[in-house]
Amino acid sequence: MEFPIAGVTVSPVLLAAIGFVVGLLGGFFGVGGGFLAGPAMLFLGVPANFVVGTDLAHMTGKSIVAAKRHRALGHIDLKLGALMIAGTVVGIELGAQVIEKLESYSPIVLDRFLNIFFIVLLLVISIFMFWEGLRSTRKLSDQTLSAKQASRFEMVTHRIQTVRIPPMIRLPDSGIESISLWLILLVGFVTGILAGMLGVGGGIIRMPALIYILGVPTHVAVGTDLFEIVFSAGFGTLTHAIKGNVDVLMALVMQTGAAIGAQIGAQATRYVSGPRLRLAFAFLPMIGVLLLVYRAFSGMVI
Amino acid sequence: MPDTTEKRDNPSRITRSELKRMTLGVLVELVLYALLVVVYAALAFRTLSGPLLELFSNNLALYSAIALTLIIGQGLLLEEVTSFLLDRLRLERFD
Repeated sequence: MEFPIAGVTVSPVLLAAIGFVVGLLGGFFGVGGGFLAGPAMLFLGVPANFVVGTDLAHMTGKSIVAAKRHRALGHIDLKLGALMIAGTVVGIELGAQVIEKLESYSPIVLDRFLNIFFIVLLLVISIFMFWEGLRSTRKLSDQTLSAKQASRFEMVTHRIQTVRIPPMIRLPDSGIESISLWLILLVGFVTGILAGMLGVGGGIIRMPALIYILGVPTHVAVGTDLFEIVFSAGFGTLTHAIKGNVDVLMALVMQTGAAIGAQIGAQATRYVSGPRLRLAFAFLPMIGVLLLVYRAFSGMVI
Repeated sequence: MPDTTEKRDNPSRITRSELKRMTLGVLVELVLYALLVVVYAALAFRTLSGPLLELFSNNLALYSAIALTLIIGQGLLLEEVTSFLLDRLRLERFD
């Protein structure tokens, strides 16, 4: 099928299939899946300048589907999501501007640095979540504990929550009695900067941050992150579309596959406990690492 | 407002036969969905591709606004369709 806006002929079945896989992972883990969809689109021959923008566009639609399902399941903390959006959007913009400034000095060095930094970050997230998820799963199996109590990181999260810089707010949907507003904005801002610098949506960083730093229950973190992605990806779609980097027809095709995948993924979270979900999540950043390593050796541009 | 604090402490255990039935159900629904999508895509893209290309070439700001509207609109539409299909799987009954 010919996509006249991007000026390329790509199989719509393959595009929908990519959307389906990314949607499934996104609905289950609460991530946008840009780290996976981007390279896959490049493999199909989508021009590099259209990859990020088109991916963000399909991510917006897919996250609407997944977030609505998670909302119905009671997995979204709207108050937390809205506050995080404020910090994230500012962070993403700042991160993107920093990169733009740094690129004018030495783009090759910067690209290598960011590649290595992203690989290390993803490895740390993956190893930590595997360790924590495995121990929590064992703890959950051995004793009569709730999934939240089984977290091996609960003590640290509790300490972080004792930071009392007013205004303090209550997040009943996340089971948090009192937390500093600034802490939420800071987490959104920092994960936003990282996302903006690395050119990703940020779900893969934000989801663990919601769980381990703010102490949000795993399923609520998944849903709330998807809710946030609707806005951050929507904002990204607009900025990329104005620059002429979005093929909306391609995004609409991808979205058809992503919608059903996201529904199934979101629905599947009902049958998995928090620690098991975290354990499964640990493998996701590894896919990103493999793709980044491949990118570094093959010279693939995205 | 539902209680969201790790309420899935003890998620439902699915037996092998239930899992088999669910997988089969998902596959059937996927085929049905794919057929629907093919018809929809053929109709929608035949209508949209010309005007969108013209907008992309002449007015990027309007193209951006329409692109986002289309994405959100299709997202909401597909949410309804996929919810309907998934509800037919009766996954709720395993809660």
